[in-house]
Amino acid sequence: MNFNNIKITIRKEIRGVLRDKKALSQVIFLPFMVPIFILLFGFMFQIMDKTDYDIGANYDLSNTENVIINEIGELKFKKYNSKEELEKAYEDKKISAYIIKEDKTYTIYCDTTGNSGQMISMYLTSYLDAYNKSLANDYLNSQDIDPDNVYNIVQTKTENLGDENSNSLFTIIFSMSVMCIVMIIVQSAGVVATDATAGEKERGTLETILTFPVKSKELITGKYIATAIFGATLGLITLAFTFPSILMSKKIFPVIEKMNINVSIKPLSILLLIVLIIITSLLVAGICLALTGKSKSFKEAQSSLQILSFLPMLPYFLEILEIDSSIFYVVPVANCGLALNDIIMNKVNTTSMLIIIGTTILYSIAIIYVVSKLYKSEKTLFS
Amino acid sequence: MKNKKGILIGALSLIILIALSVFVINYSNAQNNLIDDYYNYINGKELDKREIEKDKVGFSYLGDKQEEIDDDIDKLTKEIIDNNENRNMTILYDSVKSNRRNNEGINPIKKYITKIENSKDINALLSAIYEIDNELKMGLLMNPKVSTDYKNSEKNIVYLYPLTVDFGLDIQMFSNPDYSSYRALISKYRIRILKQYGYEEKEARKISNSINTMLDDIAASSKKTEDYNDITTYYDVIDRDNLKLIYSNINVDNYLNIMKLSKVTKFSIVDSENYKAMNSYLNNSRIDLLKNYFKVKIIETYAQTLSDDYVKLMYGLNSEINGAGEEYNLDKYALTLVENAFDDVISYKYAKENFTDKNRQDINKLIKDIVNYYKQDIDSNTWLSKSTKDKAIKKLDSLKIRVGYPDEMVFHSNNYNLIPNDSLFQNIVKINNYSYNYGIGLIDKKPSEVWPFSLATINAFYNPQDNSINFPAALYKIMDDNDSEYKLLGSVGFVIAHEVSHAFDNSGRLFDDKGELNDWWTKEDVEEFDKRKDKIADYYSEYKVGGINVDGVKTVGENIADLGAMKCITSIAESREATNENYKDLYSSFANFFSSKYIDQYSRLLIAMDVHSPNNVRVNAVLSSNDKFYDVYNISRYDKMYKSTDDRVGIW
Repeated sequence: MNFNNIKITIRKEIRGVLRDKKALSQVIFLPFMVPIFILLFGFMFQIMDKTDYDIGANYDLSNTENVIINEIGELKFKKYNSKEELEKAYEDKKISAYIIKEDKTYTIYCDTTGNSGQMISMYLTSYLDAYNKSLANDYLNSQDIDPDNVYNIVQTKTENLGDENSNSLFTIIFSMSVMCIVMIIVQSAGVVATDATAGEKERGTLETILTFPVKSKELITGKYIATAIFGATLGLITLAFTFPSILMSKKIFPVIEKMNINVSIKPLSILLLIVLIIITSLLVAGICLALTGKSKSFKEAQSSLQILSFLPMLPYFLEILEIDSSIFYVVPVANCGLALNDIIMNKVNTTSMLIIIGTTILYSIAIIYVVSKLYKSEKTLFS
Repeated sequence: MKNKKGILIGALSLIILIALSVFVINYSNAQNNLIDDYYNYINGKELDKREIEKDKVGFSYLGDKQEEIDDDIDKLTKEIIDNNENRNMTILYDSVKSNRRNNEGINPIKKYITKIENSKDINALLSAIYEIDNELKMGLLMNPKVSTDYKNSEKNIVYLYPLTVDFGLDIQMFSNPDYSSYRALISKYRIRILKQYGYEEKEARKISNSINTMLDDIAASSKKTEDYNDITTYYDVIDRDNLKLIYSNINVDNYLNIMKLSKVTKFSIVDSENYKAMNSYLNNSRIDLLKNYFKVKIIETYAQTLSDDYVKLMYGLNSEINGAGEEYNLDKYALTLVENAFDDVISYKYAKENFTDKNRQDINKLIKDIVNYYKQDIDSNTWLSKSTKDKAIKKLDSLKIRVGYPDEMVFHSNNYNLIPNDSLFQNIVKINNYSYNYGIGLIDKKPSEVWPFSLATINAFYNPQDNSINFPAALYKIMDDNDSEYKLLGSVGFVIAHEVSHAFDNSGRLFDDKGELNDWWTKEDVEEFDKRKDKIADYYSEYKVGGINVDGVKTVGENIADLGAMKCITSIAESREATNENYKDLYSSFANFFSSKYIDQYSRLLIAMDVHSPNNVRVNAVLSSNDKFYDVYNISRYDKMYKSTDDRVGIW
């Protein structure tokens, strides 16, 4: 095998894509998708995370009540001097509900026909229940009666068996970002592979190339490496954009900040992520070449790559459906998404990581073998 | 070759891009923490690492230093006792540890309780009260204290304070919902001591509830917590005839005679309505309630001198109020009682042994720089009138400065004349009576130069009534010779500047250079001062800790002093041509000085009781209003520490 021929082929393929404005435009914006995606989601979560409900009241809150309300969250109290003032504030939509205290009676005024009204009513009832319990505690204490003997005759405890640090919104954002990295590898490798196979056939340049003193093995190896390099490069650039965009969203959107996301990760994890992106690119490049090899046109090549586009989405769906993802560790491409997800989420398990890297390398070797066999066939080259 | 180069550059750029983003993220996280919460940026890691011990309410930088001093004081006290260096001290210590205390149980106070129990009507009860106060000087009907006349710093007068509920809960807090848990625990303690005394549970509850109703009623007529924010409220001079009108149901002349106040004709009454409310209870229809009230009052006051059963109940109450607390330990308890009673001897000895000349020089140098700064700052002030400025500078010139320990000390504890084999109760009564009589002896005399608190306490104090700043020897503990001058400025410098600033806070400004309540500000200056003070109160009220908003009004005096102190030490650093690193030393030292971690219950108690803002707020709120801090750390409008120039506050 002549390595110089391989290098020339790699250069030719990469140049080909870089010169082809149409192909380039398909991939150049891909790394920016992640920041846009994350910021968009941050914005959506911010909208969904409605700011505190403004509640009016005709009394001052005691420190105990403030602590309870703080623990419940979502409520923001403002004192008004009379019922009339409260009614006006409600009509003017300055408050979402109000409470009037007369002696020991607290009356909640709230429109409970809508969802938010029901939520507010629930929060306010929780606050008053908790306050009532606190006053009852004080009363029992003042009578030298242990409140535990009244309220906690039966003890209930809940132990969180899940990951203490996991957060559903956090998980969704990260899973989607990770999915984006693998999708971008698939997309960009697909563009190069399509251009290198179906593109050559469509333009009729393959025959010309084969007249040169270059072996088909060298030609395929060159195309394969060019496809992998392109996928890996865009994957790594995307990775480099992922963390700053999370940080930026944290700065811009308070809801993300509330999730307490810590994006500072260890150098070993970064190294692992880079290795994974590279081997994923090698596998994806092989699959792309295999899938597009027999295509006669761009359109045909693109449609044959469709199936591959679904694989990176698998981890995301698994996360949403709460399906045990361990069985998918051997599914090619999808398993790389899972591995990236695990590394970023600090859930690295050595066994699963070894399975993923091992199987990916095995799949890569197998796919290289398949591609080399495929491209030995004249049917594939000249069909 | 050219392509190889291109590939190499491309790969390198990619690696640099990734490395750079990782670095930016890590740096941004650290920076983010800084600009969002400087207190946490400096102290967060250390506070997170350290767990609160089971029997403690928390820990703090100053608390740790104080604990070290307390351990030293324990050793010193033990040494003095073991070597029999102080007879009175040994007698008191032995009386705490003696078996007699446990054997006697309630007996030391039984005769007083019996007197009350045997009273058939209100006159008999009042006679019993007079007899008890004649012996114990508890002030069961009035609460007299001798202190400098607010309007004449040359003499002492008698202030009549409201009746107290004890355990730090003043009557005005009793019906305040913010203190409901506190009140419940005191009620619980009351039931427990009544049960310990011999009452059935049901009866104990009944008595406790009736006392609560009475205290609620008196509290409703008394001044409220917020009324005490105005220091002038303490000064309301009345004559004996007025006092008789207020306390119409008692023989005022007789009672004042018993309290050794027979020659006093004028009193400053802090809350006359409180006495009027108590007076309304002094009749035959309330006789049973009153008997129970006074009985409980006597047991509560002297529980510390009774058997372990009572002492342990007291410890239990403390633990419940704070959320945690030390278990009762006889040796420790004996030492604590001795240290409190003989603080003058012990802390003076400790101060002389530990407070060095260098400490004194360093503090004096800082005081000189700080006072000079305030003079310049007042002189260049743009909103104060010339006459107010002149008087303010005169006040600074007259400032009395007390650093470390006095050259000569009057040891009052040498005059206790305790007698061996007396009970702990007898000894404590003797000590209390000595202090009471000593105070009474100072009426109408010129106030003496008394250091206001223990020399072994890390604290500092501005006394508006003699226009003095006081820095006890214990401050040496926070002075490290290895610290840079800027670190020292951020800690001790801040403390000094804070105290000097109190001379011009909302209360301090009302006193003149002699320490007399005297309106020396022009009307326009007062208006501008109040405008700024109100803005500071609003500014701090926005800060929340654990869901509770800081009480900006209650804490305004301390906040004014904090803001002024930070501006002062920053300006001193500026005059010393400090570099950015020097400023960082100063700010970090300041933040570290207030480092603390407490359990939630204790934090809430502090918010309710403390006139200072919570420590994290003290740091962040002050720095958010300090212009130099913005330059040093490049704070931008997108950072949480940021306040717009208009929103930044300060009197000066």
